Amino acid sequence: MIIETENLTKRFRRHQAVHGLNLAVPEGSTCALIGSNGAGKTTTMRMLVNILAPDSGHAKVLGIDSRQLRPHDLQKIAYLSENQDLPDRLSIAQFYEYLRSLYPSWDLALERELRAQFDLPPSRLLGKLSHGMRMKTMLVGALAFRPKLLILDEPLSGLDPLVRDEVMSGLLGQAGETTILISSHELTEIESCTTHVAFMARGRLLFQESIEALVARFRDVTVRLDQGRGANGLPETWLNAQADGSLLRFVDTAYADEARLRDVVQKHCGAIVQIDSTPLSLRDISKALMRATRGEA
Amino acid sequence: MNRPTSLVAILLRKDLRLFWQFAALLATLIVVSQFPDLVALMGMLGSLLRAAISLGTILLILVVFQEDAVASVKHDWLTRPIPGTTQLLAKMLFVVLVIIVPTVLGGFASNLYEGRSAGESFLAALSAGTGAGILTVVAITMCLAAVTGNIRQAIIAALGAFAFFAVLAMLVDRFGTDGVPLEYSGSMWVLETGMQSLLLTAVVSVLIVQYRRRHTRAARLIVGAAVALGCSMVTLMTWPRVFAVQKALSPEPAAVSTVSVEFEQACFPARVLDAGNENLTGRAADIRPNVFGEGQREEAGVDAIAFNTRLRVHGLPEGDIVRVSGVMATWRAGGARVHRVLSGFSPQRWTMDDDRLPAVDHYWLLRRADHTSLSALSGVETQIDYSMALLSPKATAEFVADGRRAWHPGIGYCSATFDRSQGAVSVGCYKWGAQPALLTANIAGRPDIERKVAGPPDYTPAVIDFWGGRNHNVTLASQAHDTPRVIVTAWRTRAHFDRQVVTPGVLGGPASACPAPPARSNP
Repeated sequence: MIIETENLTKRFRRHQAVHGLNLAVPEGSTCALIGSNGAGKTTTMRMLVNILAPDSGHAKVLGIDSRQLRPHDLQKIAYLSENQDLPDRLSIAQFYEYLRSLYPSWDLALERELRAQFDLPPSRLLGKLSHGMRMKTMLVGALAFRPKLLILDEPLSGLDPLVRDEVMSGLLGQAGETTILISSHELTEIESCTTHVAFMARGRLLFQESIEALVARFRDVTVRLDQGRGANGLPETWLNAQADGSLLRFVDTAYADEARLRDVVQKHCGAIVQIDSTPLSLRDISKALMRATRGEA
Repeated sequence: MNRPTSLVAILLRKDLRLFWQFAALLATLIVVSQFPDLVALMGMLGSLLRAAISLGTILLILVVFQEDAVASVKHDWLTRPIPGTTQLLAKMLFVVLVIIVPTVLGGFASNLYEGRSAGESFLAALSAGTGAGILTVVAITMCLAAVTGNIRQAIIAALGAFAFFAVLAMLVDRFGTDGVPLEYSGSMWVLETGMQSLLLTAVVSVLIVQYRRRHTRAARLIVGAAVALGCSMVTLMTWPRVFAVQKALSPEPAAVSTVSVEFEQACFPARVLDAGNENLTGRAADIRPNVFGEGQREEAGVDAIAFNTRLRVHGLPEGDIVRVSGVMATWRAGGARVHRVLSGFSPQRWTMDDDRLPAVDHYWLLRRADHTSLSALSGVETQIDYSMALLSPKATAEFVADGRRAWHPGIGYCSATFDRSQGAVSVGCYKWGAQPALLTANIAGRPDIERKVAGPPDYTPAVIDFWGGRNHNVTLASQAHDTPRVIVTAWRTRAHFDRQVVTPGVLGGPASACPAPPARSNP
């Protein structure tokens, strides 16, 4: 595992930001860390790169305790956050000149290629860049030294669709070589490159698994029953259940196949007139989970 | 260049790129401010220039450190391959380049322009650029920048620190040393060294904790502890304690075994301060209102009694002199202290009394109401405590007041100029490293003209007085026709000691023998 945390915990005064987090990110994967605002994603990422110290537990990044990460290790890790403070009065060219001298592995050709791809004006000051330009500038700075691990905290937030596509294509170009941990609410955009998903709610990790397994076990189910029933007493694996007369809708999080689904529905709800189940996108899965966990709060 | 050195250069270049306009402006102002004649010509602008430099220095350090804030969770450098200590080194180098180097270069040019030698100019400039004042400001500002997460927090912290030090200075002035003015006592170093050691320890600890461990809470705790310790130190360092430290460090305590003191006359010469002095005679007529500060006079109120004490010193070793470091008057009745006043802030006036013994005058103010209540007490007595220093000559130089500057062993670089029209000889010396306890000057061959001291004494032990230099200036009166010769003497401390004089009554004797001068409002 390129990232491995054990009971990682962080508290800010009375607020428990991260609680007993056990996260594992396989090398070469692109892991989407998802969850609603305040779920603890940013705090987790900051602990991984040693910006914040955990209160208890520990995180291993590239096999090294995050608290022991040294400059030599940081030459292999890139971190990009939407609210990162940059040296605003440097121009883009000066910024890259500065970064170039920090990384022995800096790939000038890749830098040039990405700068051309993103159409970044070299003389523009960082402080005068639009949000999208700024993110693209940072992405070049994060990719050009060919890091082993790329940690991206909301890199697509506030970007227009065109820029989002540009950023994603830049990312995809690197996905093969670099392990990526990405937190984002723009799940439609990142789904195509995601291999693993970890879901956080209120500081806890609810699950982590491969995207294939996740998509396979989530179904949006609509059932027309012979007789109407309420939404109470249903299995815990059914999320956001809504009953309207004889119509029942829910998200099944333990879907295996149609026959088993039909059996379970019959067992809990009685005779079925009609049942439809459709696969969910990562975005819809995330929405369903967020809605369900918000309900628990 | 090896990797750490080249990294420092990279970070320094980045900061210079970011702040070169601000840095260039500040460096220029600093260089200009090193030319005293130019600043004097600027008049009011000169004062503004100094204020702008102080503010600019603090602000530049804050913004440069905050550009890569260590107490932040957002700054880009935190996840770059930059060791914290390298970042700190680069920031400190920036401060040295933009603030210290222009101070030294400006001072060097200014001293050369004034006709001093290259060696003296360099040493004088170095002491100006690396003096305790500038380094203290830099250190505190760096410390504040290291424990704050953004520029707004840093500015608020700097304002808080300014307010804190203003209050601290006021406390030292009023209460910290029982009102004995430390800056004239020669013992200021005791408190200064304590505070500077505390500051140095705190700043180094904070910077290490932050730039090696990034432990902001611990760093802030250190700042809080240092502030609390600083306040305690000021509160605890009363004059008797400050002097006890000074006394314990006396090189030759036995040298004062023969020294004794007594008042020249029993009744203290006294007058009502705000009355005319037409009817006064003797030393009472010499008590001028201006020996007291305006605040002291206001505090003493109407019909306050001003009195003089003249202390004779006996048994001084041949060639030695004595200086009073601090003096306090206390009235006691039945063994308990009932009232205490402080002497006027005028420089101590040494004279030779009728028997050619050294004598020192002090002037005191006593409120009329206090005198009345003290006089009514049975068995009241006056106790005056003198803290003193015995000094002996360490080095002497005699030279013509022709304006030529030369180096004299044990004294430093000196010159004297004679202004015949003003009847004055201006003597100026500069010494690097351990300073003499006192520097005096007098006109050669004129024992009738008083020997004058060049600034207040400084009893800092040589072991901690190795860095920096000091100017000693004094003006002597001379009506000579020919250019006079000047004798400059550097004095060393032999011993610090105290003596106490107790007299009955309030003004040197019982009220019947030593009555108070009548109040104007009740003739």
